[in-house]
Amino acid sequence: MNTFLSLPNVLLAVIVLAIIGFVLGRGRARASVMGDLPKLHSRPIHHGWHVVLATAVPAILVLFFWSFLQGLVSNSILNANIDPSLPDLQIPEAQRALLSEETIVVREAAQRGLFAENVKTLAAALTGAGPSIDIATSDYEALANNLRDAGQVVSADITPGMLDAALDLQALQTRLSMIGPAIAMVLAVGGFFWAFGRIGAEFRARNVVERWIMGFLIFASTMAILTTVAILAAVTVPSLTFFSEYGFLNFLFGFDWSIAGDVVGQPEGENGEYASQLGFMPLLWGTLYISFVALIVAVPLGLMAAIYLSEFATARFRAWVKPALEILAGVPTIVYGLFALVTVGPFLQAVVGTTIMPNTVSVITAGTVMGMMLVPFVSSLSDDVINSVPQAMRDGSLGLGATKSETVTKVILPAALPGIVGAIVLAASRAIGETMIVVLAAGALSSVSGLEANPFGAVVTVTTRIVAVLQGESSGFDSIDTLAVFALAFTLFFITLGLNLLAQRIVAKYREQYD
Amino acid sequence: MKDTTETDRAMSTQNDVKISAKGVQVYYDKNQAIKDVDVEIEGRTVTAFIGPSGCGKSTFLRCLNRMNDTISICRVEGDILIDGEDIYDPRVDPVQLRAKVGMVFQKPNPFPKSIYDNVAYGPKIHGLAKSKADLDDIVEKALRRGAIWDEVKDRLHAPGTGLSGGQQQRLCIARAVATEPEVLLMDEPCSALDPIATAQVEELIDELRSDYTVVIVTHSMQQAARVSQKTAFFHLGNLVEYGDTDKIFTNPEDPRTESYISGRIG
Repeated sequence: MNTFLSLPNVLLAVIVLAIIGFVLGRGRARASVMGDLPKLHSRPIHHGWHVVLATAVPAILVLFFWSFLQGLVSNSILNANIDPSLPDLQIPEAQRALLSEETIVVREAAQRGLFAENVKTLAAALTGAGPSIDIATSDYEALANNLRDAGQVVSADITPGMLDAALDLQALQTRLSMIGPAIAMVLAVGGFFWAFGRIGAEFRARNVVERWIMGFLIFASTMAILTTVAILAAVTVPSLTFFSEYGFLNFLFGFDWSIAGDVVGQPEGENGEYASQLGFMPLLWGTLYISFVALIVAVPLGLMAAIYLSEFATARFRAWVKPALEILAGVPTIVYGLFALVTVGPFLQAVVGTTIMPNTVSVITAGTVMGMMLVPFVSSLSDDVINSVPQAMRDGSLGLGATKSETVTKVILPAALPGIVGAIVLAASRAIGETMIVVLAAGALSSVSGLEANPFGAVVTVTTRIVAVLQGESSGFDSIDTLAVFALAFTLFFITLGLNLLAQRIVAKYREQYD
Repeated sequence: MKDTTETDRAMSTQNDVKISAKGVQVYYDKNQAIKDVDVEIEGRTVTAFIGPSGCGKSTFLRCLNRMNDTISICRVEGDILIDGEDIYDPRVDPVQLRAKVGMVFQKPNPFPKSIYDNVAYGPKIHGLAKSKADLDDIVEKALRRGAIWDEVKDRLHAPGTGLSGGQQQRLCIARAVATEPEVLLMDEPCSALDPIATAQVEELIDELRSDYTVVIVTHSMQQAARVSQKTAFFHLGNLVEYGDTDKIFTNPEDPRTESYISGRIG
C-alpha cells in the first residue's frame, strides 16, 4: 500500500477511474430510460462527463495543492521540533561575551535557520541515495562520503543531532507524501459513486457540466492575470526594502551607478554612505536612448512595409513577403544580439572610425539591430490596423477622384493612426524590456556616471544591469545590490505597464469609431 | 412639322445622350457578370437600374466611373463613351474620370473627419479652391446642394461619423457634388436608410436632376418609379428592357420585365 499511494500512481488511478466512469455513466444514462433517449433531460454524453468531472476534478485539485502544502507542513513541523539545547545551535561562550544581547538573538535565529536548511539538505540526500546507505554509523565523515558517492549534495559536516533530525524529517515526509494521494483517492471513489448515483432522466447533467466548463474557462482567463499580480508582489517587497534602505529619491534621481562589490553584513561604507552607487538615471537614459534609436529605425520601415503590403502589393508578393516578415519576428533575440556584436558593431566602427566609436558596442549598434527586430512587429500590427479600415473608406475616396496615394495619406492613415500609434507604443515597450541584444551590443560597463550623449558610445540599460548583478558573484538576496535589481525590475515593470496601458487606451479609442 | 421641331429642340437642350455604352461585357475572373449591354443614358435625367440581386446592375454602374478597376479580377470589354469620349481609352486617367463622374455608395461612408473636411476633401485634392474663403463657399454650396446645410451649419467641425444615417448619406452626396461632377452614380443610396431619410434623399435626387446626370441603382421598384424618368431592367447580366419609366412600369414589352414588376420573379 505504501508504494501505491504515490502521486503518479494515484493520478493514473484517478484518470482510469474517470474514463471508466465516463463509459459506465453514459451506459447507465441510456439504461435508465430503457434506451428511450428523448426522455432524458441531458444526453448520455453529458452524464458521462458529469461522472468524469466529479471523479477527477476534486482529486486532482487535492493532489496538486498537496504537493505544495506538503513542503510547508513538513517545514513548520521541522522548525517546531528543533531542540534548542542541541550543541549545533549553541554560540561559544567566548564569543557570547563579546556580543550584545540583540546580536545574540539575531545570531541564534540565523544559526537555527542554517541548521534547518542543513537538515533538509541531508534528508533530501538520504532519500535520494535510497536505503543502501548505512545510517547506523557513527562515522559521519564516511556517511557524508558515501552520500556524495551516490551523487547527493552534502554541504555541511554531519553531526549526530543533524542526522537524527534528518531521519525524523525523512519519516515525516514519507508519511505526509501519502496523505494527499490518500485523500485524493477517497475523493475520486466517492465522487465516482456520488455522480453515478445521480444519473437519471430528471438529472440536469448538461447544466452542471456546462457550469464546470465555464469554471475552467474563467480559471484560464484569470490565470495569467493572477500570475502577473504574483510577480508584482514578489518584486514589490524587496523593492520596498531597497527603497527604505537606500532612499527612493536617491535611487530614482541618482546619476551614478557602480557596484562596490560584496557588501553583505556591511550595509554602510566608511563615510556612512553606501559603498555602491545605485542611481537609476544612467540606466533609464541608456534604455530610452537605445529604444529611441530602435524606434527611429523600426517605425518608418515597418509602417512603409505595412502600407505597401496592405494597399499596393499584388496578392502574390504579399503571399511571399508577409510570412517572411513574420518569420523574422520569430528569430530569437540572442541571434540578433550576435549579429549586432560580430557584424553590425565592427561594420559601424570601420565606417565612423575608432576615435568616435572606441568600442564596437554602442547605442547605435544595439539600437539599429533592435530596430530591425521590431520592424516585423510594427509592420504586422500596422498591417492589421490598416486592413481593418473599411473598404468603404477607400471606395469613397477613390470615387471622388483621389489617387491611391492620396487615399492612403489623407484617409486611410488618419483613420488608422490611433491603431498605428498603439502599435508603436507596444513596440516601444518591447524595446525597453528587450534584454539579449543590449546585453551583447550596448556595452557592459560596470560603472557609469552621468548620461552618455554620444550615440556611438557604450551605455548601460536597466536590463543589462539586472543580468550583470544577478550573474556576478552572488552576494545573497539580502545585499543592497541584489535588492537594487528588484527595484530596477519593479521600475521597469511600471514603465512597460504604463506604456501598454497607454497603447490599449489608444487602440480602444480607435475601435469605437467603426464598431 | 412644328411638333417635330419642338421635340427636336427639347431633345437637344434636355435629352442629349450623356453616356453611351456599346457591347459591354464584364467578367469576374471567368464568370461573366454583364453580357453585351448597350444603353444610352440621357443628360440631366435620372436613370434607374432595377433588377433582382446579382443581375449585374451595380457592376454595370461601377463600369461608368471605372471603379471596377480597383478589383483586380474584374475585366471590362466593349465601349463606354461619356460625352463621346471612350472612358476605357488608355489615355484616360481613371482618377480624372472619377472627378467628373461622382459616386454615392450603398452604405453611407463619411470619412472619420469633420463634416467640413469630408466635403472639402475632393475640392482640396482637385485644387478647386484658391483660398480658404473660396473653399468655405464651395463647402457651403455643396452642403446646400445636399440639402443638409441647415442641419449641420452650426457644427461643421463635428465629426461626420456622428450624424444620423440619413444625414450621413446626404453628407456623402454633398461630398460627391463638391467636386463638381457632371454625372452622379448612386448605388442603392437608400438601402441603409429609414423611410423618412429615404424620402429626403429621394427629394434631393429629384432636385439634382436639374444640374446632373443621375444614374441610380435600386432594389425598390417604387423608388425607381418615384425618382426616375428612364428605367433599365437587368436580369442575369442582360439588359432586358430600357425605356421611359412610365412605360416600363405600365406597359413593359418583355415578359421578364412584366414578371419582375408584378413580383413573379426576383
